Amino acid sequence: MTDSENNLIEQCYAYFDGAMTPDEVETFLSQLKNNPEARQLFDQLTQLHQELKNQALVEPPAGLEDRILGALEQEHAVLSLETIRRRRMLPLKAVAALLLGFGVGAVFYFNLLTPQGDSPQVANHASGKPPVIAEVPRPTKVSLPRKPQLTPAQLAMQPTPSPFRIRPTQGVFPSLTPIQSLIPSPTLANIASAEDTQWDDSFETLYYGVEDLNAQVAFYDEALAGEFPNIN
Amino acid sequence: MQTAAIAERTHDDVTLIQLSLSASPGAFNQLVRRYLKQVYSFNYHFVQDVQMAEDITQETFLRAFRALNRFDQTRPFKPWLFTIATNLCKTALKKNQSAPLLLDDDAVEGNILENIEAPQAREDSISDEGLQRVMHQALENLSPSVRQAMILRHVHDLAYEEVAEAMDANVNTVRTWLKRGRESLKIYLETHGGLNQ
Repeated sequence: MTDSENNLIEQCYAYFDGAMTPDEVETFLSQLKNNPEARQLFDQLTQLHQELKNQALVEPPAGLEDRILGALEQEHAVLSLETIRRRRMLPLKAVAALLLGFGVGAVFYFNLLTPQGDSPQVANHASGKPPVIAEVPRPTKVSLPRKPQLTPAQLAMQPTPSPFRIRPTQGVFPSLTPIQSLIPSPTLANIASAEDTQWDDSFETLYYGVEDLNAQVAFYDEALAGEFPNIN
Repeated sequence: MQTAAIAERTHDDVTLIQLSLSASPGAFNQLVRRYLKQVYSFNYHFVQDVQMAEDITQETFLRAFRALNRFDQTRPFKPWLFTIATNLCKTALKKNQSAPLLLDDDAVEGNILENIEAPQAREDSISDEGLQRVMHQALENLSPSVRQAMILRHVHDLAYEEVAEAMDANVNTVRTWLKRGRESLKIYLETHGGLNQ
């Protein structure tokens, strides 16, 4: 096949494809009129083109269409079933989501209403079991102000404190003696040099013991003053 | 219902696709009827086996139906359908060892030349049945790529770009295939009496 034949074949297919401009079509058709060999080739290609179109289309076997339509029907049924299942599951999913949301909301609301810190948390109340007192955080221990430590020498130099308004008895209560005489001075020194907590506890006991004693003394003072105005 | 049936008969591909997507399965059946012969012919010429062509044709329509919601409706339906068919044919040929032996273009051209040089009893005019047989032989002697390009372009009237898209190939490659196919077909038919001299 020569180059001119190849070019002519390409021109013919460009003509079949409608890929030519009007001017090119006019030139091509005039070439076919003037060149019998080109005209013959064009006729052959036209026949080939038409035969290719006619013969290449093969009639499908009988029953293939029904087979395909049946398969499509099954496919559609499967898809429809899935759609129906999804639609049926939708209310259940909605209810489940609603219940879950309600539960979460209830827990949140309950937590908001429960006082925090002051009262112990009560758990397992609804289960019938005895209520369990949740652990409450222990309050921070507050120590009393620390008494300045004094050396035994300083203690000896200090005048004997007289917090008790105890006057020398005049025979009414001969057994009542000044409290400082009950506490030996080494004990005070021991208290002052003891550990903080121990010292604090001892001092507290001592302090409140003295307060009580002081109250008793005041009570007896008032009683004596009322019943025995002649005293003092 | 009657209106939908009329629409299925008369509407274009896009309308039928839209009807199919809107839960009207009969619309897709119409698409099957419209393209069954073309798809089957395409598959048959590709794999050259009746049973395989039937199976691939069914699978082509099933896959198209499943993927219909992903189809770009701004583009033509037929090239998309042939793209699915092409991929299925290629997969089937890879799996099946009894696929056409002529997979190499050079081998095909050699085969054509051999047939041309072989003495053949030519007839000035051959019957339709004979012409059909000669045309089938001519097509079968083309390489698969050239044959598919020829069929898509000249039988199914796809544009060059659509052929390239369906075959997952470059447009210039498609042009080359078509040029080679036309020349080979002409030579074969001239030699075997398929064309009037």
